[in-house]
Parts: sequence; structure tokens; C-alpha cells
Amino acid sequence: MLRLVSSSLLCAFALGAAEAPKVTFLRDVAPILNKVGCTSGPCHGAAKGKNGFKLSLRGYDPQFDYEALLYDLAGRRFNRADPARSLMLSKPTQQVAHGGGLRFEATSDYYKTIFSWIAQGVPYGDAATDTVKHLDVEPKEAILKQPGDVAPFHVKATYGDGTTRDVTREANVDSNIPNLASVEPDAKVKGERMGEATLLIRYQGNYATLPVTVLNPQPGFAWKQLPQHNYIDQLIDAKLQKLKIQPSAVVDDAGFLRRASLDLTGQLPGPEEIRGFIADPSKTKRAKVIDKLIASSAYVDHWTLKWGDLLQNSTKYLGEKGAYEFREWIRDSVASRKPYDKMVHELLTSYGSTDENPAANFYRVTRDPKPTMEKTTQVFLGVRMVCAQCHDHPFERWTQNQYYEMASFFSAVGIRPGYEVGEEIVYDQRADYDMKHPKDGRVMKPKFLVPASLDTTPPPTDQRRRLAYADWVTSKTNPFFAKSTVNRVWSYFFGRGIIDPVDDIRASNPPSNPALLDALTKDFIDHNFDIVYLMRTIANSRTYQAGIVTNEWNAKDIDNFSHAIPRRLSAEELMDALAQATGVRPVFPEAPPETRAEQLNDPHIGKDGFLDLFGRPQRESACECERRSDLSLPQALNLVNGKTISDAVADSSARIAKAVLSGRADRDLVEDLYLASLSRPPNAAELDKGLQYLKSDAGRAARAQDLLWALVNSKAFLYNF
Amino acid sequence: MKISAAFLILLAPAAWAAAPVLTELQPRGAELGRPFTLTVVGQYLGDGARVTSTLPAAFTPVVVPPKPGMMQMDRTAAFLVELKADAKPGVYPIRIETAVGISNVLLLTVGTFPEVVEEESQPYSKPNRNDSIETAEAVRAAPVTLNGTLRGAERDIFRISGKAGERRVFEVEARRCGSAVDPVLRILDGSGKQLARADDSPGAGLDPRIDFTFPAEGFYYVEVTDARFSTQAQNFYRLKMGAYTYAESIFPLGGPRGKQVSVTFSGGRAGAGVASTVDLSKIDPRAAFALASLPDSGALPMVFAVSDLPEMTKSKDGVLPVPSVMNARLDSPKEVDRYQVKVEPGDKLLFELQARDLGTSRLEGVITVYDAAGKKLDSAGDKPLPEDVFAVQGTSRTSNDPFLNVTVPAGVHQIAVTVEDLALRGGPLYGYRLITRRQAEDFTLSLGSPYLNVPAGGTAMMVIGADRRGWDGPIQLTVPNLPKGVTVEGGMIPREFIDANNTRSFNRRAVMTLTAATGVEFAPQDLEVWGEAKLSDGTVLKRRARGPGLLVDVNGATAQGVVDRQRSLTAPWLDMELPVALAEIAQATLEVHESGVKVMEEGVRHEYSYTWKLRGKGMPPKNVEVDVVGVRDVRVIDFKSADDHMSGTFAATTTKATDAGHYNLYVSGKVKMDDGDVAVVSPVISFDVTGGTTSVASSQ
Repeated sequence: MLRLVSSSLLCAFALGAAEAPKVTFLRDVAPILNKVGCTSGPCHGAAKGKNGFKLSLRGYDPQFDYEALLYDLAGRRFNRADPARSLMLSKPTQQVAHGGGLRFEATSDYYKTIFSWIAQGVPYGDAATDTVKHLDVEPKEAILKQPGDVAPFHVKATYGDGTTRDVTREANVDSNIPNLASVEPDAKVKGERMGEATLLIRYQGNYATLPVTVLNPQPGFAWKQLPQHNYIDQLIDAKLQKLKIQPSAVVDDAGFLRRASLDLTGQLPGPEEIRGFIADPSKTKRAKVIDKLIASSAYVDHWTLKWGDLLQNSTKYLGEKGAYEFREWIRDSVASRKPYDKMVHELLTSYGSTDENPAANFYRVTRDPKPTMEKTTQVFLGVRMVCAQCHDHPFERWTQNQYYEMASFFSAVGIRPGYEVGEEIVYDQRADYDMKHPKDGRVMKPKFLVPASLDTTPPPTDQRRRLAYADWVTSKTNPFFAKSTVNRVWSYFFGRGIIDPVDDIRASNPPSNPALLDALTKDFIDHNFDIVYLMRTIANSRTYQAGIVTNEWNAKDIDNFSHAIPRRLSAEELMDALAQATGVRPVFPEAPPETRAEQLNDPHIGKDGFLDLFGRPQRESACECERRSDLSLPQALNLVNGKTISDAVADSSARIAKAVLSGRADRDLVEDLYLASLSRPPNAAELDKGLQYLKSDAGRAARAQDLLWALVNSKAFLYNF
Repeated sequence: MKISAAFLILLAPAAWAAAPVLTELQPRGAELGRPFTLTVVGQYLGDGARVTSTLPAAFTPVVVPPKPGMMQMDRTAAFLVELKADAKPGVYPIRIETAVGISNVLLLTVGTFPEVVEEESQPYSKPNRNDSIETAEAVRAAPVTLNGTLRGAERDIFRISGKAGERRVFEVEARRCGSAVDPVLRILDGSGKQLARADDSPGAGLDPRIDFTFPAEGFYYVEVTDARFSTQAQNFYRLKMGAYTYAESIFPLGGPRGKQVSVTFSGGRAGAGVASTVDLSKIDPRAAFALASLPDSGALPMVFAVSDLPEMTKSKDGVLPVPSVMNARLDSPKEVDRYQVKVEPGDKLLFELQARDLGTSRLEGVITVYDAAGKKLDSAGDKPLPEDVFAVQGTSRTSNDPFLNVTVPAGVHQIAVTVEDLALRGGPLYGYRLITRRQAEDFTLSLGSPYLNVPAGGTAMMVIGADRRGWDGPIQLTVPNLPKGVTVEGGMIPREFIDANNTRSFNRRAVMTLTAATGVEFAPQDLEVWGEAKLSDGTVLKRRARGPGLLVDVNGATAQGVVDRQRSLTAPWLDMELPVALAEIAQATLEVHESGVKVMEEGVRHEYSYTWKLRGKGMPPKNVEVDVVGVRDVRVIDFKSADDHMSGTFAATTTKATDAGHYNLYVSGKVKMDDGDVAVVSPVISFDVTGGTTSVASSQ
């Protein structure tokens, strides 16, 4: 049978061989291998290949793939005299056994192309002319009037010689939100639900995106303009109006104070503070309280904790004194309102004794050039480079070469134990610091991912090369630095970034509101990377102050910030909130009395207890994802039965014991408990129920303890909303 | 080969329970010119205790009537202390001597300010009294030195007042005064906002100092904490507050014995420079350190190195004579000091840097040697540290000032030596002493035991460490000035070599035992310990061991998940060697003897048989611990003990990989007495391993 098929095909192709167009690996064959899945991760693109045949993942290295095809297996993949008998054709067509199954039919165009290529002597092609230079997709944007609508698209590749080709069929297309916009087999996009998504189109190492908007088909939408506090609201409204989403009105005063206090300081407001704020008739009281919270020491502690997570401050990496000193450096940076670019520049250029210059602890966590580079791009630029260590990035344009060029900026960083225990000296090595490519050992000179300015002078190659990196990262013209920072900070106030995840900025993960992200970025740069200014701008916006209650137009929206979305308190916030509610501070034997959970410098303090259960990160990674915000059964059991809450509620010096001993009236006691836990006074029904409950025979203190226990076990306590 | 490390630690400080032990001084400091009562706290202090100290003062024993709840009498002793006119501000050792031995040393600090004791640190006071600004202790006087203690994870907060524009120096003296606390100092405003913070300040080692100008009139808070919130036995600190002059650096860092050395103090309130003189004209010929004080200052003196080599602060045409000590400083960042040395091919030179070890420099030095053509021959201070047995925990590894052994290659008649900072830092705090000698192979010795009490009729043990500087061969230690009736055994540090697995053997420890005959008598005295090595060129090199002066354990923050193993606090600047005293008659003694050697596998292996015998009172241990010092590839096997556990046998077997050489062995055990366990150690015995070695290389 094989003989029959191949002979007939041979005749067919031989007849046309004379006038067959020139076929090259680069232009014609490699795209087929990628499209039919030969180079995919589960097949021959796997790290070790498949069944002795290894191709680069997703064909990122065509030269490697070409040589693998030609020279592996002693060149037996081709039969140039009888192309149809080539393994390269008989395997994917399953004329001989193939673990990967049928990849294309023997009558397909792909078969014919490869046949011609073999018949023409398997030419590689000219990298200058046969390499794709860029991709274009038509249309530029797909707007679907309602879910269920479909729209076609076309992909065009432009080659080095200026020629073009329609590659719609061979291009790989993925949706970043498949349940919003799905890709149909015949190059069409289908709207699944209201909202925005992006298609990522990949072809031969080039990328293009197609934004897709699925409009709300519900009739009767009439935009009601709410007050706009600043440009954030204008840009949010513009987007919502387009999507026919009506934003929620602002939250009430008590809700605002609770949310702002938690977001800015990680602490609940106190009962007296809430009473005073509610009673204050001033129209500017929200702006004032934002300023007051930002000026508090709790603000400094809260953001010191955040940065401690991202910079992985831990005794595991830095030793005892190093972890304390690094925290103090971070804290001082926050307290002194150090411009963010300056803070990052100091970290990246730090050197000397880690005791004398605690910023140098930054390098002790990752220690080696590659993870250091990965951390800096992820934390400071929001770019994940880790995939490109082994192969070109599958969803971004970053190549393996770029990975090592970027890592090269840190290849001269040396770390050596210092004189004192726990001290290390960070320095720049004088020799033998070249970064070499793992494949061929060639020296990789430092090179920026993208230029930050029009000045394209290559970075220096001496041992102080990381200074140039620091300049590049913190440049006002760096396309990632300010953008990723405002996006990250935004996420701390809304629970998700404008680009989300915040540390994975790439073409296939576009912003939900590009205009807003650009405006915030520009504003941040214009104000010299002032984080406090950025936070104040966000916190004062109507968008931030929106209520959690939705309307018929925004109930399903989760991407466009049209209403507040509840967020579970972080482990430290929860523990401090319990202390606030019960009036009893937890005791950490490793820290001085009265230390709040948010003031701890090290994730090993109080390890394996309440904080870890509720998702405190161990600071093993620079990823925001290490901090868990889920709600699990063990957490629920701990809240219901755990000693942390029950002991705090019943403590002899707790809020309830003090209130009972001082003879506080029932009404005041119930109000106190609501204010201390839920940060709002009880409504009439709640107050009535509370008073009734306290009046029972079981003992007023016991009943009050029950009430407080119930309050701190409610969602209204566990969530920031 | 060490069988029981923990047990040896018990043995190290003192071999006999009845000898005095000091745990605390009350107070920790005194004001110059003001008599005071010094109460020493510890154990076994009741038997005619008297103070020995270099402090110019009269110590008159006084009786303090016991109060209800007061400690037992032999746990405290009190002295009326009258400082003499020539007493100067500084830190002085206090040791107690009784009829049955000498105690460890604790340090007493003499200053110029009135002294007060923190309320929380007063006897019978509750802890955590001043841990918040709400409960801060008010300190009204200035200048003042406030003596406090930190009990684990606590803050001590003091309320002070200041006037707008007023400058005041706040300084904590702790590590420099023998405390294990690593203090951190903060100044807060009336609302608790931090205005200034210091941890390790220039010229103060691990101690902090803040030179503060009050921005406005009002109350302020001064907070003292430990950098790790750790719990220490020696947990005191001295918070000094006043408008006094201080310096952050001194230059040069040392000078020649027998001379008056001009120095300059600079930094801090000393400004650009205060000239002074350090008098080394009458210094003890054995001393390696002196103390240099800023004139008319309440600041503690700085350690100043002393040597017997020609010293210089400038080199003529950049040429470095051999031998010499070059006193220099990296004045600015990125500075590299370069010197030329005239040599002959085959010359063997040793370059040593003194900087951070002195505590007066922050230089992490790198020494590099180039030939005349600029080709790098070797460097030190910039290479990975050896993975030796003392540095197994990553965060506890430390570096020391570098040294470099150089053999001049053929055809080279001039070499260049450079000194730079590893991180290319520079400035007033980056001084150094570059010692150049024609000495290819060298070593230094340090005593692990700050003092020793030898029981009459019994044995005490001491440990000596070696810092090898080119010499990897065996070192034999001796004690030349033994009291009559006292014998010494052991003291062999076997050679180091690279084994068949390309692993270096680290031999940097010797054990010596002193045994006093029954009925012998001698007064407390300093013993000398010398090490001797026959170098590869046949010359004999002798080096004298230096004592730590005092030994204070420093704990890590043990409650945390990761604990840094801390280096013990020592005071080599006290220039003590080995103070030794005769203790009470030994209640138990232990002996070990070799009973035979069996040749195994046609001479490839040997089995050494031993018997041990315990004599005296108390309940014996079930078995003894055996330590074979510095030998690898030896197994200690076949432990057998008599029914009464008073005697027994064991064997040590070598393998064909065992390195040939002379080795020491001893046994030890804990005997239960009525008043607790007593550590008993046998005199060291020796054995020789001959042949059978497969060691593939030696750096000798």
C-alpha cells in the first residue's frame, strides 16, 4: 500500500516539479511543523524531545530544527531520490507507525509542500529574505454586538524581502479569555459573553494581537453620569459607557473608612475614629482621612510588609541581622517617601557590606545572575523572563538570547562572607564574569530587552554593567517600569490589575483599560515616581470609592472596575483586625510586646500558625501569587474552632472583659462590638437582636463574647469590600 | 576525630566546680573619680574572694548584710572600689581569685559621666516596664550613662527632653564592653516617629552612635533594642548621652613597640582631625595591642596594633622594604594602593593585612601580587572561603583579614603588591596595615580557653586553634613555664593534606592537658603556650599562642526559623595568655593507656587497644567519650565497660587511608556528684600511625 501511495504521488509531484515554486525550510516547512504540532511541548518540542527526535519548542530555533531533521538519525529522515519514502512524510501521515498519530493527510497541501521541499534538496532558505519580519492582522479590532456573534480575521506575514503571504491557516491563535471570546476553527472569533478579550496570533516567532469587544445586547441602557473625582473616573467612565456598563455609586462613609484604612494601612479603624468620621459633615473628609492614613506609621509598616514580600526579605536568605536591617532599609524608604525610581536604583546598584548598606541584601536572595535578572524583570518591570531561559518565550517576543543578554548585566555581581556573622559583601568581580550561552558557550554581552530611549549606545561590558541596567530600568522612557508599577499599585486597591496578573505583562495579556493605564503611567512619571501621590490619586477616585452593590448593568462585570469586589483580608491584616476587634494583641515570642503582625520582618516568626494558614507568603518567590487569598476549609475550621479567635475573645484583658468590668451599657457594648469588628454601627435590626441576646440569663459577658465571636466569623469581617 | 563535641564544650571553661565563676557585675560601669560598690555575681565566690584587675583601683571587700530573698552568700561578693588618680576612661577586666582557683573575666567600664541604672534592671524589678513610649522611663540628667539590660525580644525606651538646636551624642556601649547584645539605637519624636536610627556606627564596632540635633524643644524618646531580639546571658548595655567629643577613625592603625606614635583621630566630632600620641615606649614586650584614646573625650579608647617590625606610613617611590609594616588608607572609593617589592627568584614572602580584625577599619581587603610585566601571580581576599568545619552554616560564615603566601617565579626581580577593598570602597574608615615578611610558611595560634583551673592531683584540658598561613605540616605545642609539679601532655596538630577524594583535611585544633601532682602548690600565673614546626626548608618556626582574654557566648535569635550561629565574643586586646590556678583536690580522675597494637591485613591496617580507669568519688558514667584529635579514617570501636563502670576498654582501628603521623587521644566523662555533674578528663596520650597512608598530595 505504501508503495502504491508513494508511487502515485511521486508521479503526480514529479510532473509538476519543474515548475514548482521554490520551497524553503524557513518560509514553508517550519510553519507546517509548528502548525501541526510537531514542535509543541507534548511532542518533539519537549525538553528531551520525543522518541529520540528533538525539535525546539514551538520552532523558536529553526536552525536547530533544520539541523535536527537533516543530521539526526544519520540523515535517514529524507529520501531525496524518492521523497515519498522519507520518514518526514511517512510518519506524520501514519504510513509508518507514529506515536504522535496522523498530523496531515498524504493528499494535503502540507504533504505536497514538504514533498517538494525534499525533492528540491531540502534547502534551508535565506535568513535575510525568508524570515518573517512582522505580522499584520485584519481587522485591527473586532467588535461583536452581542454574545454569539462571530467575526472573521486574516493574518498576513511580511518577509525580509518585502513579500507577503496570507498565513491565516498556519498561524496559531489563542484567546486570553476563552470564555469571553473563543477562536473558531475557520479563523473566526466568537463572542461568548459581554466584555473584552484579546486574541494572540503567533507565526514563526512573530506576534500580533486582535482586541475583541463583545457588547452588552440588553436594551434600555441609558448612561447615568456619576460625579468624576479625577481623570481615573473619566477614563473608567469612557470605557464603561462603551461597554454599556453603569458603575455603582460610592460606598457609605463607614464602608469607605474601613476600605481605605485596610488598603492604606492594613489596619481597621478604631470605634472612635469611625464615629468621628461619620459625624464629620465636611465634604472633604475623605480626602483628609486618606492623607491622615498615608501619614500614619501603620501606612509605613503596611507597605514595608508588601515590599518585604516582593524583595523576599527572610532570615532564610539574609540571616537574622540581614532580615532586620533590610526591613529597616525598606521601611526608611517608605517612610521618607523615597521616589520609587530612586529606591529601585539604590537596590540595583547596591554594593558593600550588607550590614552597612542593607540595600545590598537584595542580591543575597537570588545570588546568581539568572534568577536575579528574572526577579528584577518580574518585580520592577512586570515581565516574566523565566521561560526564555530554555527556549524563546512561547507567548512573548523574548528570545533565549535576550534572556542571557539580560542576565549578563548581573554576571559580575559577587557575594562573599564578611567579617561579622551574617554579613556579606556584595561587590563587582574583576575577572571571569562573562555570561555564556548554554548552547554554544558564546559570550553574551549585556543588552537591554528594548531601548529605553533614542540613545542606542550599547551598554558597557565591564564589571559595573549593572549600573547601566539600573539606569535603564528606572528611566522615565522605560516602557515597562512605570507602567508595571502603577498597575501593581492599582491592584492593591482593587484586587486585580489593569493588566492581570500584574507581574506578567505581555502582548497576549493586554490591559483592560489601556487609556487609563497610560494616563496613570504618565501621571506617575510626571510626579517623579511618587508612590504616595499615585496612591492618593487612586484612593480619591470615585472608581476606588465605588460600592460593592451592583446594578443590572454591572452585575456581571469583573474586569472594568465598575464596582468594588470583595477581597479577603490578608493573613496579617486578619490577625491585626482580630486584635483590633478583641482588644488583645497576639504575642510573638520572637518580637517585642505589642508588635503587630504587619510589623513582622520575617515569615518564620509564628510559623505554621494562623498567619501561614491564611496565606502569608514564605517569601520563596517574587511572585505576587505566593500570597494566598483563598478561603479554605482548614481556615474556616480555624475561625470557628481555633484558639486564636476563641482565646482573644475570652481574654481577661479583652474588649469585652473591660467593657463588662467598667459597666458599659448594653447598647454601647453592642455598638462597640460592631464598630470594632465590622467598622460600622449596627443597623436597627442588628442592634435590636444584639440587645435581646445580651439580656439572656447565660451571663452578659458570655453573651457578648458569643456576639463578638459571631461578628468576627462573618464575611463582613473577613473581607475588605 | 571528635566523638563528643558537646561534652568538650562543658570541659573547656573550667575543669572544677568549686573554682569561682563570674556571671554578672553590678554595676557594669563607674564614673571616674567617684568611689563605688562593685558587686560580683556568680558561683563559689565566698572563700576569700579578691579582685584581680588592670584597673588602677583599690578593691576593698565589704560585707553586704543579706536581705530577705537575696541570693546565697557564695553567689555574690562586694567590694568598695576607689579608683586611683591615674585611672583613665576605658574597659577593664575583672577577675575573682579565691583559694580554690580563678574565675573568668568580665569587663567593667570606666567613664566620665554619672552612672545610673535603668529602673527595669534594678534588683527585683518587673520586666518590660519601659517597652513602649507610653511607659518610657524618664531620664532627666545629661550627661549621663544609663546601665540597662535587654531580656530577649524587648525594647527599652527612655524619655528625654531637648532644646531646639541642641546637639547631643547618644551612644550605646555593649559589644566593646563585653556584652553579647548587638544594640540598635533609635531616637523618636514625641509622637513616636523615628527621627534617627543607628546600628553599627563607625569607630564603634557593632555598637551604635547618633550625633543628634534636636529640631525643637520638647520630649523625645531613645530606644535601645538588640539587632536580633535575641536572648543573651551577658545582656547589658550602657547608653551614654551627652555633648562629648568622639572620633570615628584613627590613623595609623598601629605602630612600633618602644616608640611614641603620632596618630590622628578623625570623623564625628573630632572633625577633620585631632592629633595625638600613643605611647608605646613602655609597653609589655609580649603585647600585640595598645589602646588609643581621643584626648579630653568621654569616648571609649580604640584598639591600636603593636608590632616589632619596621613601620612606615609612606613608602619611598612606592617601594616596600621587607620586612615592614605599611600603615596606609584607601582614601577614596575605587582607590587601589600599589607597592613595589624588590625580590629574587625563589623568594618566599608572606603578605598579611590587618584591618577589620582590629575593629578600627571597615576594609574588606584584597591583596594582589603581580610580576613586573603586570601579570597577576596570585590574590587573597577575593576567593571563595574554604568549606572548613567551622563554617558549615552559610549565614554564619565569616571572612578574616587576608594573607597571601608568594613564591617568586623564575626571572622575576620585582613584584607589585596592591591593596584594595573588595567592593572598591574607600574613605577615612578604610585604613590598613600591610605586613610584609620573608616567610613562606607560617601559622598563628590562639587559645580556646581564656583561663584554666587545674585540680590538685587531677587533670584539666585546654583547646588551642591554629590559623595556618602557608604551613600545612604538623605543629607541636609546648608549655615552657609550667609550675613545678605540673605536667603537660598532648598539643599535636597533625598535618593537613589533600586526600584521594581531593578533599582537604582540616587540622587546626590541638588538645593539651595539664596534670597537677597530688600535694603540689603554686600561685596563679600566666602560662605561655608555644607551637613549633619544622618547615620544609629545615628551619624551625616557633609561634606563641594568644589568649582570648574573655569568652562570652553569643546566642542567635533562637526562636526564629533560621538561626545564625554566632561567634563568641573575645577580647584579645587584653593581651592575656593562659592564666592558670590550682583548684581543689580532684574528686575523680581518669586515665587511659594503650594496651597493645595489632597488625591487620598484612600491615595495611592497625588496631590499637586501650584501657581506661576512673578513680574517686561519685557515680561514674556508663562509658567514656573518646577524642582522637585530628585524625581521619580511624574508627573507635569495641567499647566495653566493667560492671561498676569504673574501668573499661576500647579499640581504635586505622585503615589504609589513615595518614601516617603522630596523634593525640584522650578520654573524658561526667561523674555525678552530690552537687552536680563534674567533668573528668584523662591526660592526653599519643600514638603513631606508620605506613599505610594513601594520601595523594600534601601542600608541604
